[in-house]
Amino acid sequence: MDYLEYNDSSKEERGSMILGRLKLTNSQVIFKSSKTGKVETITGSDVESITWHRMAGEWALRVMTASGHMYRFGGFNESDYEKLGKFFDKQYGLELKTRDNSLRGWNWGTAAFDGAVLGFDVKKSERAFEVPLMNVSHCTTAKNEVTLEFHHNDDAPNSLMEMRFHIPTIDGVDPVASFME
Amino acid sequence: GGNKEESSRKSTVSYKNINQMPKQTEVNDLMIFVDKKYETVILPIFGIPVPFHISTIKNISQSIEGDYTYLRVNFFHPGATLAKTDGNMFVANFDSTFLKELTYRATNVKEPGEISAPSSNLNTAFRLIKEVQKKFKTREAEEREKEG
Repeated sequence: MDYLEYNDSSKEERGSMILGRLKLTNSQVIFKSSKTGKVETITGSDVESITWHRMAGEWALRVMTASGHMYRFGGFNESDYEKLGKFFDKQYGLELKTRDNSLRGWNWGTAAFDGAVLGFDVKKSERAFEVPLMNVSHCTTAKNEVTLEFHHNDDAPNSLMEMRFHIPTIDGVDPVASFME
Repeated sequence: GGNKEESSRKSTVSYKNINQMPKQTEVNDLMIFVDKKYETVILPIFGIPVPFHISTIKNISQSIEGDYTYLRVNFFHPGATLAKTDGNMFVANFDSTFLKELTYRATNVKEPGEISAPSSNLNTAFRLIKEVQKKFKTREAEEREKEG
């Protein structure tokens, strides 16, 4: 099994799931948008970690590159897990990790930066959501507060425009520096 | 029954496992969904439907600007004006980061072939969040009264 192909895959872009075809080879991850025909390629050796988690009601692959870019591909079934796990283990020497989304419904947690991604963890092993930082158009701060404004996306059923955090003053670390790319 | 309400009030956890998460098309299509049964608002954040228990929501507001409807959700956080019982969750979480606000926008313009404009999802969410919030607050008040 040198490659895997998923014709009903999708890719998260600015809060939308873009439909397309995903091909995983021993050296590349290739996604072709069925709407625009645009092809995106991730070099296999750049892949740092792969995680299996839920997105938009389905299972998704989260591919993180060494340069800190996150790609998320949806449209998987639970039954795809084993095959994908074996593939990444054999071809990439990487373990397909799993992660639970937080279902607690809490709005407090820890903000964690991982490359160009801001994660919001409700518990250590439970992530509520992730913000790909390339979606941020503007970032401002006030006392104990960080506001992120996003590029709007008229292709999404609704577009997330703004997100605001309350950040406690404990260690005096300025979280804003990390937001700025 | 009474026991179920009692426990949900104390823990304010939306879902104990994935099977409890609603499977409605709104959730899967990354629209806003209000789950009356579990008193939870599911908000899409970059591809993930994220549950927020109604007790975390302070207030919501809606505005129409040009061709767009905006829905702003304000969450409770330390430093905000609190109702008597809402302070509990902050005591143990004083060093946490709090999500304070989320603002969504959708167009009021209906594309050919659409049954309703995308903004109708925000309108429905606004109405239902108010409804669930009112119910939740009323029950909280009643229980406080019972406890004296």
